[in-house]
Amino acid sequence: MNPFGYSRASDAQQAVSGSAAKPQTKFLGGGTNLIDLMKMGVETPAQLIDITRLPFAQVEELPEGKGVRIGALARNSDVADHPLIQQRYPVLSQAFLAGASPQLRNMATVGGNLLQRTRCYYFYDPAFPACNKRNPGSGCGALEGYNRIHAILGQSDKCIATNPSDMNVALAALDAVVRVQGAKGEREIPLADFHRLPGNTPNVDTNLQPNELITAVDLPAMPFATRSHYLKIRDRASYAFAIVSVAAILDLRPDGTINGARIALGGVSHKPWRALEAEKKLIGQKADEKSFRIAAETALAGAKGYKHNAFKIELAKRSIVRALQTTTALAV
Amino acid sequence: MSVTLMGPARNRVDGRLKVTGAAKYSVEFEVPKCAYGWTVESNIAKGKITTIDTKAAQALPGVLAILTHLNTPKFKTAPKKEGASGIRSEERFPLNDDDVHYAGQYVALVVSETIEQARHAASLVRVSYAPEEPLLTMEAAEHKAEKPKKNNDEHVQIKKGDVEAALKDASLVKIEQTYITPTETHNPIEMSGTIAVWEGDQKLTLYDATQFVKGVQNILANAFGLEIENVRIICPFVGGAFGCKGAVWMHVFLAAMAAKVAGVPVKMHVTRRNMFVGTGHRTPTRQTLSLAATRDGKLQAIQHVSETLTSMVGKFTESCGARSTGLMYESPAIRVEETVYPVNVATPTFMRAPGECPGTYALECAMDELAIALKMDPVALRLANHADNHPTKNVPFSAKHLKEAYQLGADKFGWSKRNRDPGSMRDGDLLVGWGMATATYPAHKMSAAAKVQLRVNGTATVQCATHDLGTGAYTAFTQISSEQLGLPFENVTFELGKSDFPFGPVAGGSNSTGTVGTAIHEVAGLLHKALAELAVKDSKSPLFNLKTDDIAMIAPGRIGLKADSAKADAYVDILKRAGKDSIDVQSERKPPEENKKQAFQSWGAHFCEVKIDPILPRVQVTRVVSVMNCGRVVSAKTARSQIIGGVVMGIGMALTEETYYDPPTGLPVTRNLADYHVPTNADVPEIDVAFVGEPDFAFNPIGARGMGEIGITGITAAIANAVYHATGKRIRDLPITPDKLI
Amino acid sequence: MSEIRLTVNGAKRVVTVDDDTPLVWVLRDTLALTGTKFGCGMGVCGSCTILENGKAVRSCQIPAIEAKGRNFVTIEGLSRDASHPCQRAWIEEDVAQCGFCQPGMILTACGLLREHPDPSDQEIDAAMSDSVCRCGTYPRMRKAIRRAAAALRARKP
Repeated sequence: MNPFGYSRASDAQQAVSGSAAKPQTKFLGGGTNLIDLMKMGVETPAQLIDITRLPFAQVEELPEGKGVRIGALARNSDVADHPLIQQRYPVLSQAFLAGASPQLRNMATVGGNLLQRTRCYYFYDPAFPACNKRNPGSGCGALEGYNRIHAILGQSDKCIATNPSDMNVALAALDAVVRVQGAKGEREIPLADFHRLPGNTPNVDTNLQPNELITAVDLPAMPFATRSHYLKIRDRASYAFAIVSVAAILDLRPDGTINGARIALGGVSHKPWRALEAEKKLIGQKADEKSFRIAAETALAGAKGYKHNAFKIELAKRSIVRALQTTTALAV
Repeated sequence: MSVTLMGPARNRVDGRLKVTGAAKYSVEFEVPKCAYGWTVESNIAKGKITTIDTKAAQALPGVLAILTHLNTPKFKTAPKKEGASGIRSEERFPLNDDDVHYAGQYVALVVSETIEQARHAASLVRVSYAPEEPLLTMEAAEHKAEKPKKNNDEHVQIKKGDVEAALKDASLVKIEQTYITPTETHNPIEMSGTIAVWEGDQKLTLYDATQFVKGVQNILANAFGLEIENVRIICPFVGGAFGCKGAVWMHVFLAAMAAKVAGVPVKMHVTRRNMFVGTGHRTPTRQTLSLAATRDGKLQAIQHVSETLTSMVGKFTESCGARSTGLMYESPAIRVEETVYPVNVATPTFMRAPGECPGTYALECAMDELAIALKMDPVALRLANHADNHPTKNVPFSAKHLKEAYQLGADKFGWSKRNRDPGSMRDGDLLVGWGMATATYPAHKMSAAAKVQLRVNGTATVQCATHDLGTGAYTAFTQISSEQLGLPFENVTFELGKSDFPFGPVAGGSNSTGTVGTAIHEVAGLLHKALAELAVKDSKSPLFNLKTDDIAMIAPGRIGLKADSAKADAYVDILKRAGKDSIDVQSERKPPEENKKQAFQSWGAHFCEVKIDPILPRVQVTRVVSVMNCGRVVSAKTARSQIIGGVVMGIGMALTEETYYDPPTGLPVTRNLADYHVPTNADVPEIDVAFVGEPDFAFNPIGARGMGEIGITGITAAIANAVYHATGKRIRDLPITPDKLI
Repeated sequence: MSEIRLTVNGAKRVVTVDDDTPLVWVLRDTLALTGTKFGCGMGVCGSCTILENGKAVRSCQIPAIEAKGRNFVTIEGLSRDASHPCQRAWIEEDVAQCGFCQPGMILTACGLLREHPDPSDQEIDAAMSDSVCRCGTYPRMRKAIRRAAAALRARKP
């Protein structure tokens, strides 16, 4: 692959200043996605700063019952198995287990997962001349090409790629907040604002600024998230990216009506897609198929399909209904 | 000696090597000072190379050579010698000229001291093209379509009886449907690769992942103008092949040329990405089946029109109809047509049951549709049209036990409990579907020779330049050698995978067990004869002065008088008394004996169950029963594994596998194992395999018809038929992914 | 190029390789431990699986420079004589066909059995489905894992 400089950071400040000191620097965590992209020649960083020794691997309770903080370097497998996550945010644990493979989960970090790049064929393989994400202005090979795994919500005529992460979908439903450190100090980015829609600049995946380092993801307290479920639809029984996925959380009243809902979709958009209007439609409704169907129709109201992925619109609707049904039926 | 249907259930003789990492695959041989080759590929499908800029790459440390069409010495094309062998699916040589015929064609090769230097340098080679409009589809290549008369020696356009009249007969029940299969790619987990080592400029050794060491030897000798004995090919283990390592592909020529030019040994791996281009694929097919039958289910006509793609640089064709409809069912009228469209896509090649696999998919789906139209049980329909004689050659099939396979399969599966109505069977909320189909594969016969050394301690080594692709060949040939030589299994070592050994044919067409087994049978006879010659001259032998023609093996380890087994002598005693440490004999390669009075074909029946969520419809295969009739089952365990392997690959073909080509560029899109979905553990249920029938001694002295390919035939149809039974939806284009069932 | 010290199968090794060389090449070509296989180079097929602290990891996704100071076990380190319960079970169930994916599969199974000494079929499917076998040895692999699990449990008091 393209030769690169390599250094190991001993603290976050050193990592950030080291990154600012040289252009084309990438932070190296688990490396599961970045190294692949470097082998393909999609990513060609001049410098890698190894951040794996930084003290950001814990999963810990925030004081005053404010929720849980997940260190950016926590391995996906450790988060999935953590009792705090399994008990309070089962949707996130399930999303991890549905995503990637056990071995990749052993290596991949939460911060890296947030930054996971699209699996769009036209992006991943530089043999394809057209990809606005890889090479701005070159066009979008997927628009008229093989777009089976592509977006139906929030896409632009410059890019119809999807975010492949399962974790991100659960984090979106959980109103997670990303903590980052930059040269000027720390800041927080709500997950909803972390990933971007492609618009005219699909080359920019996130609102992370250059040289900013993700240090943690905070999950706010959400007592009703114990009633949550992650549903993933894929082409084979396991080990495939989602065609469609749904993270669903329901806050049910004692009479069985819905007090609140969180619905996020994966595999359908450039970012984890939060279905806010659909959530609103559910408030005060009975938790039954009829209201779930209305929510599903609402969530997909603006969807647009292409030659190979139009089926995702109906599949996403059905998946939302099923995920909400499963969530309702949970004994919590 | 009585020979039973089932041979012993021995563990794989190479099992231990394979679980300790000690089995050496071709590119794993240690060659000192070996450099690495990395290719640059075309990203246009048709046109000409205008410039190649190698300066930046050349300037990198470690780079030893960069081969392009501008500087590569010309390969020689020697005339084909009589009996010379080898397969070239792509007929041109690499880096031959500035023409580009398909996307992914190698246009340069970088040789460097380390693999990462080579990879990086290759990324810096800049190639410019003058692109032309490529032909990529059947529609685009309509004007170039051909109807080949023959595929090698096999007639592929078949006409028997009056098909048109039957298809017009209003009193008959008819089905006409078109079935589509996409491009599929072999994807053995060991990617193709070669290490090329020159000694001077006249001797070449290749450690090459191949299904045909003698073929590679011959073709490389021709390409470089070398004496054949100066080219050595070594390949003791193959990490799967399924057809894609049968031909000599471009990387093999390139590795040898690069090693010659750079003056060092060169190791080349075909990357996984390039396995989707540079080592073949199963061509996509469009097949239209027209069936006409009487109301009681007797076929009156079958018409099978198949259309497939081939490349601009080869003539490979996938003969779907001739290899299924041409022989499966009795019918007074049969027509098979085959049309081939050349396109600007890399060359297709044999992939497990080429022709039979897609052909049986289409025919066996059509038979299911006919059964439904007739309101008949699918097994009953097949029994009603069972062919005792080859339907188009009109000779009897030898040792055909298909009816028993249907019966045993149905019993094991519980087929009689099937409710015929689609959508009628459930498991909780899941739809349940049961489907079945017939499997078939021809018994192929080629020629081989073998060599044996028997030692005075009673051990023997048998050698043949054959191959073990994971098929169990080492085990089966050790087993056959043990039986034929009359020595304990533990005392026999079988060696393969070297061109130094006597001739072995390509490990393809499920021919190896029968062909090499026959050579072992012959060499065992020669050994017994040689021992007899020693014994009759030895006054201390009970066989002294007898005629060698009257002597044969009469018990393990002993030869004796055929008429009076009391007169016998032990191998080791004969050798001891003759003062010999060992004795060597070798058989001659001769053309196989053709028996034209019978037809030789293997058969089987698959029964399978699928479960499908009606709302979120992904198909899960939950149960398979496969009963096979392949003549003798030499090695019971490895044979069962071969059938399971075929079924698993068929599950992939039915449900998930597709190599999709991008329409404007002609580049494969799903060209890695994350996007090309082969079955994983969770996709595969328990698979119950059984065998019926008898050894087919009319075919060869081993009685075996081969096992490698039949497992994948029919299974995709059985699954598609089960999906119809579960859902009432007939999906006629593979793979059956969730989107097609919504 | 860098000089990299690492531990493989209990032995301390020093290699001089390009920083970006994936560990799989260091093992196969520099250290001649060819039991670790190369099947895709992109972390998908699983045939390059090795163990680190008993956990299965993919050696194609670890650049040499990242492997500094770490401790790995390859199939050769499991046992050379096939005496490890997983290897024995693999032989007894006659799992391997071409054998190319099997070292990775066996080490993946070792990783699974460390975390789940008595795995359910679902746990086996979940752990084993991230490695690809093209010969279709999956049903026998499930049996071998159950057999190895029983042997390992019997070994521990």
